[in-house]
Amino acid sequence: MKSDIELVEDVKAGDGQAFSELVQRHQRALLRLSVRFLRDLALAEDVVQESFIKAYEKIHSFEGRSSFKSWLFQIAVNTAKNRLRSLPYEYVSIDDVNLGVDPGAENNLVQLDLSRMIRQEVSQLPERQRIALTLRIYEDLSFREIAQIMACPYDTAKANYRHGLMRLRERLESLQSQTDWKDFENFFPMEGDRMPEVEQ
Amino acid sequence: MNYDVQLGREQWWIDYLEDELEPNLKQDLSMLLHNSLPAQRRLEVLKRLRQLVKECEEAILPEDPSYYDGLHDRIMAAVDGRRPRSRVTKVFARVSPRQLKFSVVLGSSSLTLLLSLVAWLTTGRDNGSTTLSDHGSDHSRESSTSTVAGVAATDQR
Repeated sequence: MKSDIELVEDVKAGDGQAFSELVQRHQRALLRLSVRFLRDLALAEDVVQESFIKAYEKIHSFEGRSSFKSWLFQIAVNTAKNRLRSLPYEYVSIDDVNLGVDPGAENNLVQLDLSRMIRQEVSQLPERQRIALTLRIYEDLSFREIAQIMACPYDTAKANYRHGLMRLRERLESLQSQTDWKDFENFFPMEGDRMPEVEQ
Repeated sequence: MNYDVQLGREQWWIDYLEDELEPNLKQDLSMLLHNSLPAQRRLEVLKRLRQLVKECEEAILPEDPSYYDGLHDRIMAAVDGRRPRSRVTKVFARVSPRQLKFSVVLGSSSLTLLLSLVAWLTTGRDNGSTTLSDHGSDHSRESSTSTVAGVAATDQR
């Protein structure tokens, strides 16, 4: 089986079938990534299609300094960001939101299941933190690859990831302290709980 | 050593979890982890949080393989629409509309000028020979008329 780089060379030489193979290989990952950003399958499909078209048109500028997947992800992330900005409603960063929620609203919030709440918290992270978190946790990319995709230095990519995770932890612990919701009991161990053996 | 240093900074624990620490610091944190329950708790919280974030997104995408075949076909159809055609089409695609308009105007003007020149030369030569021959005819007609008049005058005398 040919590598991505070999297929890219074939595409550059005019082999359309090679590009079809690249689409086959990466469309699922690209769709997953786009759905995470846009939270809408139809919009995500459009972003995937647009990203592949851009990739095809610019394939001669791909020099192989990063992996083809990273390059493709970079195109998809930028396309998804542009699409988000063009949506009719305004996407609001968590920085701009007043987090002082009244107790009634808190109670309503904890009625939601834990997964849905985590998704909501992730989607409310500042854009760059959310991108770093998504690429690291869901796509298992290295910080070097994340830095390439986000077009930023390595340390910045890592810092965005850290801040995103810390912010999530703060939000969830804050919710845990305000409720007796049982799902949290299993999630965040409390002071004095016996810890499992930690492996690294 | 104060409590925070004992516990370690949270970012260190995140780097520890991601295996992104320098060996020395990693060794220090491993020792700390062995002896400190709060440190263990902090790492465990981050570990569980990461795990939960990962798990909560798994069921988003369609599983049906035919869905991906359809998506692939749709993408390739869109890509085929952008695929470069003949070299001539490619050249035309690269030229801006303004350049194209200018070229067409220039080309048609040059052609018109050339055709006019050819027409002028052709018509001019034709006209020239006609005039000369006409002049010749007139001259001969005139000379023949004067000859006839001369003969008539001679007869009268």
